[in-house]
Amino acid sequence: MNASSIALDAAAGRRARGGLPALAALLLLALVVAVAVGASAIAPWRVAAVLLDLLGLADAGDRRIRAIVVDIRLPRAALGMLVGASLGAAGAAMQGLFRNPLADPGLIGVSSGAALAAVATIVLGGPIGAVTVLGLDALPLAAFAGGLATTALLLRFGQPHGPGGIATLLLAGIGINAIAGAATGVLIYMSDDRQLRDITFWTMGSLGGATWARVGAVAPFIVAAVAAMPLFARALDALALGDAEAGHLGVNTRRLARLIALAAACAVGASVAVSGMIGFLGIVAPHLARLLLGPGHRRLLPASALIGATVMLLADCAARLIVAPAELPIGLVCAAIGAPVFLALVRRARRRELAP
Amino acid sequence: MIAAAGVTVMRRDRALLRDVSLALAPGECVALVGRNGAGKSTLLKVLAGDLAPDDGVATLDGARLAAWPLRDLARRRAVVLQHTTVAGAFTAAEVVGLGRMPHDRLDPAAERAILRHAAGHAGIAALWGRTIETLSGGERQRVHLARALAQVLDADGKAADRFVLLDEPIAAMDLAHQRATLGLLRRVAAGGLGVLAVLHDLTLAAAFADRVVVLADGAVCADGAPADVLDEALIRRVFDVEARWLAVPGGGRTLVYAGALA
Repeated sequence: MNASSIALDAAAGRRARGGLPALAALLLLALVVAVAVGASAIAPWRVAAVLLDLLGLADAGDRRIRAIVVDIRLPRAALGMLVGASLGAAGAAMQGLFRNPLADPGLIGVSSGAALAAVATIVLGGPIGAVTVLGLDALPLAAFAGGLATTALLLRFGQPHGPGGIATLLLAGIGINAIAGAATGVLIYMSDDRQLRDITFWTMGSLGGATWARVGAVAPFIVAAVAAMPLFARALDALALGDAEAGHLGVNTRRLARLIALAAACAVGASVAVSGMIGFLGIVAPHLARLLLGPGHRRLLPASALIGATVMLLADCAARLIVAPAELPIGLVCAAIGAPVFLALVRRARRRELAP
Repeated sequence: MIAAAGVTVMRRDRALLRDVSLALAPGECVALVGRNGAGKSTLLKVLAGDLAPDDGVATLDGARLAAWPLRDLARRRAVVLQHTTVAGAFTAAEVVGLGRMPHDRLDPAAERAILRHAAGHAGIAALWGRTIETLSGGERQRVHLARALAQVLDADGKAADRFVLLDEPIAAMDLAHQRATLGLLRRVAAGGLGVLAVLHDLTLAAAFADRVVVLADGAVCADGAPADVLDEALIRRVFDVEARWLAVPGGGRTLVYAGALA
């Protein structure tokens, strides 16, 4: 066939161009809502005014409202966005790496390692409990270090030899998670009632106690890792064809697996450190992103980060409203709200697929 | 030139390949045939650089494949494996586009021309916007072939001094597409592409190949022009099948086999 006689649909390779800006706008909207909602409700336009004031574009007026927004609500919202973005992007990266839509960052040991370190700090704590660095207490520091150390250990043990390397990593992850789980279990067995309560709440996740200092402490890790991930987008696309096939296209899959695992461990370790365990978001955010923008990682990774951040903000609103003035653990709310939405979307997508 | 010299591959104490030598020159079409388990796919993996031989060497332009940077290797040769599954709802266009991955981006017109050549050759222009999961097995094979072509073609539609290694590239295709695919590979080979294809249909292999290499029990048992190699005695010896070559009115020849099943 003659090449010039063939017309290829130029749009076929690229879908929904406006997707990312729309998701960013949605996140901004969720931010305004999240800051407006709370023990004393603030009108959204006032929130917008304070935000513009912060950018030097307007004068917010009311000092008291400004104080609530800037000192209490915004750091919490910022932390929520960072945590949501890290879980969403890391989830998408893991699913690409393991070629499995059910993969989540837990597979590379970062969550179980962080949990082990956090529980160890709670149970064995004592004097180390009082250490603070960069405005962070011992608990988040230990959790972050524990998460990274576990992933590093996994990368040593899961050293992929030849083809099937990424599957080796997965198996090593299962083994290491089991060890960390057992050690955590021993510590829980040793704990007293008060410690047990602390552990339980930590595993349900919380954005409580957010301060600008905490935001500042985790932001560099999360922002750097999430921003770096799209650099691997094309290689992850190639990996969708398989390990060997990606290698034939020039991708060093071993190196890719290590870099992705480290970036994900960095982002998720930092977010688990400050917010505890928040499951589910790492699976649901990439799924929503895929339904909206397709499987290409160049847009999937940032879209998953944006959706993760948005869902986190909205879940936090619900967490603070449902039992006000107390608040529910954010991890519970994420699952309770996210899962039904997710199920509905999966059902709809499935039906569309089956339709003639 | 992609070459294997004295290659032996062991699995525990069994030899999958024994002292195999094979060279693929630019512009040459080579068919690799043999029974199941004869070592065809293993040899293809060695030539692709996926599998390091226990003895002997596999080289591209005289340098060991293991010494080539992956990306440089990917610019010179493409591989289509037997069973490639695509994880995720990627379109044919996106999968073929991945073939351009190892290359520095050319100007848009040249990139488009390459994709057009690849899609045209593989006959998948009509499938361009479809997701892979909606395609039949034969259509998927054509998409992966187009991906390999996108990897080795230049904007002028030629592939000088490049290579493709294909493991049963036409196994799932209908009769018409099998013939069209092998025909197009021959045409691209005329522009300098070296093609190595694992094939099972000996009639098509004979029509396609400049050279046929027959593997049996991990060793090369014949290597030469189809007319010299694929005679009735060899087919009986290697495949244990009674076959006769018949001239086809209008040109070419075809193998016929005894009709009754043993």
